[in-house]
Amino acid sequence: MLICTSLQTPTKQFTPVVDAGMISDQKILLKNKLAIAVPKANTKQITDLAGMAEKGVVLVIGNKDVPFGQYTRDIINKYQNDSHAGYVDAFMANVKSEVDAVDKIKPLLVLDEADASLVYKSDISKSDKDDITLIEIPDQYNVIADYPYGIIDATKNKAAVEAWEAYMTGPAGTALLTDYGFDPVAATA
Amino acid sequence: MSSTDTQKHSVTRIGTMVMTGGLILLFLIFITIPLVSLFTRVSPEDFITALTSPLAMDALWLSAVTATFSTVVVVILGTPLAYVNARFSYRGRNIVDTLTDLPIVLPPTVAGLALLMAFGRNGLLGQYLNIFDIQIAFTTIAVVIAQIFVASPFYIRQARSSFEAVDLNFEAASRTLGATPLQTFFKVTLPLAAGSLLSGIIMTFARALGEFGATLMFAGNFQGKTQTMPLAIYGELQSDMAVSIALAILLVIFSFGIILVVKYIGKRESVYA
Repeated sequence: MLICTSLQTPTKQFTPVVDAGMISDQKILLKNKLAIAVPKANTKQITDLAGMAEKGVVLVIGNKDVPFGQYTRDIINKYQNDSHAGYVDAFMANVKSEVDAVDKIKPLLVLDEADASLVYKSDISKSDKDDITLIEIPDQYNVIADYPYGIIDATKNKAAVEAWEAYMTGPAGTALLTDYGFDPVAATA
Repeated sequence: MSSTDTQKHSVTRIGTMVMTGGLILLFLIFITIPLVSLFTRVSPEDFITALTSPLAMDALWLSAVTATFSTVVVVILGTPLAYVNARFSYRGRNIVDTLTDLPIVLPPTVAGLALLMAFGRNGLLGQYLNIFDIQIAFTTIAVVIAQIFVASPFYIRQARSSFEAVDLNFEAASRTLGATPLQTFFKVTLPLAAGSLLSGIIMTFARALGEFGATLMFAGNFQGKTQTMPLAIYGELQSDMAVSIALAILLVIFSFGIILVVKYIGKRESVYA
């Protein structure tokens, strides 16, 4: 079984494998998206994208060179284009720091030194959920990435692999993936 | 002394010189090879382009200003402490000494976290400042505070041993001639300790200039406001390696130049000592 774990559209790493004829059946295992992360206290009472652009809100986001920073910018532009003029400027005026990885954002949220951020849903682990709350972003504004997978035709362990596939797409696997912040496709199928 | 003894002494002398020279060369090569390899990775055109970019200009200016300011503050705050600790022994002096050394022991990111927990808007002290709408975290002031915190031990340690090395007889003589303690300090002690103090100042400046972890955590990373050279270099690693290396070279040249100039000025001043 080959699982593509990159957040690009299934082209970059996965398609070459399909093109080489090694995988004949390409399926989607799960989707990952971004969400608004706020401290548990949420003193600024942010409930949606609009709230992040309010005056006085302290935002810490990914910088423009890392994927989740680029997606952040995609999302706020999509939101502005949906008749929310001036949103991007108001949002960016609240940005106090641009970092390269979520591990620099989490301490700030936990200590309530920052009000909100846009991060991958899967970046907030179960133990983080005690201190950080995730707020969903409407799909129309969000950047959704598909994680494709496929069974390599030449596999010698077809039975074992198919058993694993059944597990991951079954109730146990779906619950596991949801637990870790992903959106399993099998759940909606 | 027989001739064989003399020959043995010469051989030992030469052997010592060779070994010493060899060790020195080895160390110098070790230090310079990484620095030189930076220069081989970027073309002169790329270097100039990177140099004149707003990112580089902002970062260099911010680094220079904050590091200078931090060093000045450390000298002002640290000199009385170093002098008192050098001259007077009191109960708890060792504790005070250890306290001032503590920032060196803390990993910079932890130092940044601690500063955040003290001066952030929810911090021990910061929460009271927050009432008056004074925010310290994510500002240029925070950069200076972070630099002062991590770099102060270097000056204070050096200053204390500098003052301890000043002959008390000179100070006593100055007092008997009618000078006040303050006059004695500025006209006798300070000039005598100047050369040694200067090396402490240089180390503090260098440490402040290179500060990264605490700055990132407490002041954040924002071009023009808090993105110092080290932060800019780290940031560009992900997007444009050439710019990152160019900035690194710039930082090396800048630091090297500053330290050399300060040493030169120090040498000229110490004519009085």
